Parts: sequence; structure tokens; C-alpha cells
Amino acid sequence: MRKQADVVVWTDQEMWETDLGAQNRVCRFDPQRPSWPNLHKADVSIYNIGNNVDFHSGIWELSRQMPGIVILHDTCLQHLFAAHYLEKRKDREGYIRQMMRHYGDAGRHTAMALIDGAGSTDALAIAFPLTALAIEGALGVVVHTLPALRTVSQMSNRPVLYAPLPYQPASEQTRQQWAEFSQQRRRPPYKIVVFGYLGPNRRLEPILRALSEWPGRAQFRLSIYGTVWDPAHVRKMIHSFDLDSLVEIHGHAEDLDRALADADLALNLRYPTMGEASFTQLHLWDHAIPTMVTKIGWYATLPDDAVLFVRPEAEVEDVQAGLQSFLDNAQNLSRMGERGRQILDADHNPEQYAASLIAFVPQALRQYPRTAALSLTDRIAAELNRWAPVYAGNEPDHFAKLIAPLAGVRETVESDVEKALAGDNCK
Amino acid sequence: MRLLIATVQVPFMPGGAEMQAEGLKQALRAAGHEVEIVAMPFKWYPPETILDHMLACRLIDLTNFSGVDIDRVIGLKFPAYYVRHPNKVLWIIHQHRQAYDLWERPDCDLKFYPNGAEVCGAIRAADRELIPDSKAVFTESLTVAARLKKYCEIDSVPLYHPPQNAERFYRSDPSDYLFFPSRLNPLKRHKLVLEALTKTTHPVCVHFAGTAEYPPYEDELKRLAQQLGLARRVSWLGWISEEKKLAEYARAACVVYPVLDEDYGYVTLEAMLSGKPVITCTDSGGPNEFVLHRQTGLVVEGSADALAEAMDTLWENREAAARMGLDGREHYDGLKISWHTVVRSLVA
Repeated sequence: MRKQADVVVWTDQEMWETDLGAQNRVCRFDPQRPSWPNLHKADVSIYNIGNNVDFHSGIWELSRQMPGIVILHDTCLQHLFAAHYLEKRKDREGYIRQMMRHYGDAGRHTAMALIDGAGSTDALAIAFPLTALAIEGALGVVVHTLPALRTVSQMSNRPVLYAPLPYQPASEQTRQQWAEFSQQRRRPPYKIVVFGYLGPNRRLEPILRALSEWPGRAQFRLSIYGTVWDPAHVRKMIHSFDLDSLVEIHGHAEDLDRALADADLALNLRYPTMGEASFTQLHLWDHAIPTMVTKIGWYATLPDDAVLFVRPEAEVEDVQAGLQSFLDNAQNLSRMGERGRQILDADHNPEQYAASLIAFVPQALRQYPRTAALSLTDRIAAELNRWAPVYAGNEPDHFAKLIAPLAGVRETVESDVEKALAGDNCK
Repeated sequence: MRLLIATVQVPFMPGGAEMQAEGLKQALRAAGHEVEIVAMPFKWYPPETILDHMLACRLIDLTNFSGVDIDRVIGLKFPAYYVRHPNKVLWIIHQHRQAYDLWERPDCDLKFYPNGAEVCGAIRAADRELIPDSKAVFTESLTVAARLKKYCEIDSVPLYHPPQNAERFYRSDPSDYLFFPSRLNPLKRHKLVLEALTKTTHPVCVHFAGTAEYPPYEDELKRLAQQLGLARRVSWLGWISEEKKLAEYARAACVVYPVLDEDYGYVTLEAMLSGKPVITCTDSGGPNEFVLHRQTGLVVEGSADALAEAMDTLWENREAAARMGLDGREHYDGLKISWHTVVRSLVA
């Protein structure tokens, strides 16, 4: 983006990567007391919102106050909001209120049950994704997958940009070095990798089960890199599946690329998916590693000559079939890895992504009047409700027609009101 | 014709716009029309309040009262010019400048609010949509017309009007002071004049007339003058009567008016009516439509150094200053600025 725009990086974190600071102007903001004049120096603010409460909660709070372009890194954001309200802000009422706003009584009951200890955010993430809450402050929304494009377009009149997740690939020289490194090791055993932030939806249990119950398991070694949500539990599983000699938890890899260069196969399963593209998958494709993925969400849209699919309802069976397929025809799987690398190089170019984002800015900026008009209609409706409660009927439509030309949002406001009247916001 | 003049007013803060509305009313009455001013109160903070005012104005229908039609509405100020009437003409004093040229300034008040940009966007969208709803769009100056064109792509015709009591201004022999009459606010750049005074080679004195919209700013200016050692060279006259104002103009060596992008600037015209040269700046907006460099005054860069040099020039060359002043008066007369022209255009 720096080639095409003057970019300032804002963060509420205490520290950031050295490289980021070396190449960009990085400023800190306090989500409770942002410096509005400084933020207004930009034509537009771009907010990155995903499920990590430590990283995204402050950004989301800022986005609600000062509209900008929201890049959604997940479409199911229940984890973010449950953690934001219940852990970070200790605001149970706020969480219940938001769940009720977006899902009516069902949302309220579910929120109260979660607070009372019944259920988990994992269990309700899909049915109560709270995507609309994440984009309340959006002039426009950027998504990285076609399923996310459909989801967000259906729920909002805001402009939505689909731009494949960007990834800066390694140079040809580096890729060559990886290939040479890989050739130095004798096989079998073949090396399988799983890496990233490994929460329960990364399916370690079915992976371990598939391996333990498969006769050819001795020909593979499974290496787990990254942060495991419950290492003791995973170690216990490994032991109970009698896989201590075949599976190793490495934790954070000092040189992940070296570890990946040595890998023959990767497992990148998700269930459920939080709805967005996988940076992990792009990293695997940079190494041209054949990968098994769950046939769900973005992964399901990938070409079947680039990945091996695992059905959510037959995970163990399909993982085992994938391992057998690798043994039967390693070359065919190797071609899948190469095909994935082609997709990465063709579709996930960061410069293309930046160009799309910059081209999207004028379209998003045209939404400023819309956000202003919507806040105005809220105030009018509140006022009318005090002495002439008509907002439940058809009258607001009349008001919206009067208000809309003020903000250049004639059709948008009408359709928003129609949606609200139809109860869409409470479904 | 039965006419209404639609404008806004900040309660207890009368200014040039109020004089202009009153002047228009008198001129229309003198031309035989029935006319009233409809002034709505205006508040601009927090920013969402502006939207409320915009909508309030838009909901006001001035078509007919007590069964009698209003033949025409003349809209003067944002957002009063949004009122609904099928036969409306606009004579725009200014738009809400914080959403336009002033948005770029670091002290723009909208920028201190998170929703500043969205309100700014709404104002721009509404102006584009609703200003063309009129039969004709006039502006009070070329400067205002240029902004309307630049930001909203709306064509308009500038329509100059005379200052209040134009016929009463007179000229006397100059005394040893420069005159700067204006409300005290940062856009008028009093600080620039104080800074320039520290750089003049002559002991130039300035009489400042006017009060502050924000009282602490007046104290700030006075403190600054003290700190700069200018206490004996500046006079803070505060609010002055019309008689006193005429006298101050009449006896001034010249008028200094280095304001930033002024819409129109009565001060320039009043100085010309008083036969006084005007020192203004290239970025002063409206005054540049009237001041001819080296003929009726000096137009210099908006810096303390340039201003100091200009003040020195007219301070030490009183003959040249007097000649410029007389030429200024002649130039004013040649412009044929009159309420008659304004009225004829607005009721056509």
C-alpha cells in the first residue's frame, strides 16, 4: 500500500514487530481515549477485525466510534465478542444486550446460559456469529472469501469488497533452497505437519485417532507447531492413542520455514470454520506442501486438484484415505502442492490486494452520509417514540424519505428501514 | 411580492451575516416588497447536532401562512437554505466551512469528534443534493462561488452588496495608527499582525476593534501582545459604536486585514469607502476581489515578514498611502455595488 498511499499503522499494543516499525510509521492509540484529530488526518481508517480479543477488541471499539473500512478476518466473531464483553470489559449486561439485539430472545437466552456456565463459545459461534456487530462501524467491508462475500452482502447494504487474502511469497531462490533442504533427508518416515493456533476446531483428536487406527502409521511422523490451546490435554491424547513415538509437540518453531521445508504432507483441518481464508494454507502453499483440508467454508471452494478434502462427517476415514493416497501416489500429491503454489502466486499477490483496497476507498467514503443519516434516524425514532410511538408501524418509512436526501442515501435508508421493520435485525 | 429571508443565527452573537440579512430586508422593503426574516438558532456541537439542525430546516415549509402564499424565499445561510419552498432563491453567505476548506485545518472543530468525518460527508452530500433545488443560486462573493464550485460542482453568480451605512463613511487626515476591525478569532489572524509588529522597522501602531467569540481568546491575544513587548503599540478597543467605527476608519493611516480565506469582508469595502488603503494577503479570500495590489492597497504573502514589510511601506509613505486610499474609493464607486442590483437579481 505504501507504493500507492501514505499509510500510518495504528495499534493499541505495547509492542510490535521490529520490521513493521522500520518500514512504516507506527502510532499507538488508546481505545478509551483516541486522538481524533490525528486519526482524522487520514482520508479513511482501515480496521482489521478477527477473533483474537487481545488484538482486535480495541480496534473494534475504535471502529464503532469512527467509521472506516473493516477487514473481516473471520465472519463468525462470537469468540471476539464473548471475550470482549465477558472477560475484557466484565460487562455481562452488554453481552446479553448485543446478543438480544441481533438474535432476539434466542440470543438473550443463549447469552445468559453461557454466562451461567452452560455451553461454550465454540458451540454457539456458528448459530450466533455476531458478524453484524463487527461491521456496525463499517463504511465498507473487505472479505477474503466468496462465502464471506455472500454472508456479508446479504446482511448489509454496505459495499463489500472481495479480495483474496494477501501473502508475500518467498523468492524463487529461497524456494530452491527449501527444495534442496528437503531432498537431503531419507524417506520414509514421511513427515506430516500441523501448525498455527491450534484450538479445538483444528481437529487434533480425529487426526490422532486416524493415525493411531491406521496400519501404515509407522511410515509417518506428525509434528505439531504453534500454540496448542491445551497442551496437557493433547499430550494425554497422544499417549492414550499410543502415538508417543510418532507425534511430537514442538511449540513455537524458531525456524518454521525450515520445518515446513522438511515436511511431506500437511493437515489443515477446521471444524467449525470461523469463515475466513487461512493464512496457514497460504504458507503451506508457499512451500508447495500437499494439504488435507476440511470441506467447509473457504476450504470447500478450493480446486480439488490443489487440496485433499476431508469431510466433516468422516474425518478419520478421510484422513486415513489421504495418507494411503500419499503412499500410493506421492507424485500426484506433490502436484497438488505445486498447484496450490500456482494459486498462491496468481491470486494472493499483496500488490493486487493493496490496489483493490485503494480502489475501494472512494466507494466506502461515499457511505459517510449514510452512517450519519442512520444515526439521525435513530435519534428521530427515539424522539417519536416518546410522544407519538409510530416506529413500530409504517411511519418511519415516511421519515426516512424526508431524511434521506440530506445524506444522499435515499434507497439505502429506505431499504434499511424496511429490513428493520421486517425484523431482519432480530433473526 | 411577499418574501421571507431564511437564515440562521447564533443567539447573542450578532455579526456580519445578521447585518446583511437586515440590509437585505430594508432594501426589499424600500423596493416595495413585504418581507420578514425567519432566523433559526444554530449550534454546531457535538457534530450530530448539525444534522438535527439540517433536518429541522428541511422540515420547515415556508410555502403558505394563514392562507396567504409566500411568493419567494431567499435562503442565506447553512442550513437555513434547506427550507422548502417551490420558489426559493439562494444568496449564500457561506456554507458550513468546517466541512469544506476548514476541514483541512488542524484546529477544525469537527476533527475533535469521532463522527466528524461522517457529519462532514453528510453536509457535503446534502449541499450537493439540496442547493440545486433552488430557482437560482447567488453567492455573496467570488470566493464563496469558487468554493461552491470546487467542492460541490454547483455554478453560482456572485452578487456584491454594500456594507451597512455605506453612505456614512468619510475620510479624515491620517493619524499614526493602522486599523484592524474584526471579531477576534483565529481565522482573522490577529496573531500574525502581532508577530509582524515585532518585525517592523518603524514603530507601527495598530488599533484592534472587536470582541472575541470565545472570551479566553481575547485574553490570549492581549497576553501575547504583552509578551512581545507591544503593549504601547497596540490598542484593544473592544466593541465600538458605529460612530466610533466610522471615526477610526476615517483617521487610520491604512487598514490591515490579513484574514484567512474570508467569504466577503466588509472591512475591505468600508476601508475603501473611507478612502483608506488596505493591506491584505494572497490567501485572504474575499478582500482579494477588491484590493488591487499597489493601486488600492498591498496584497502580500500571508507571513509575518511580508506583512511587516507592507505595514512599514505604508507607514513611511503616507502620501502614497493616501493616494491608494483615494484610488480605492474610486474603485469602489466604479464597481457599482448597490442594494438595488441585489434586490433586482433576487426577485427576478
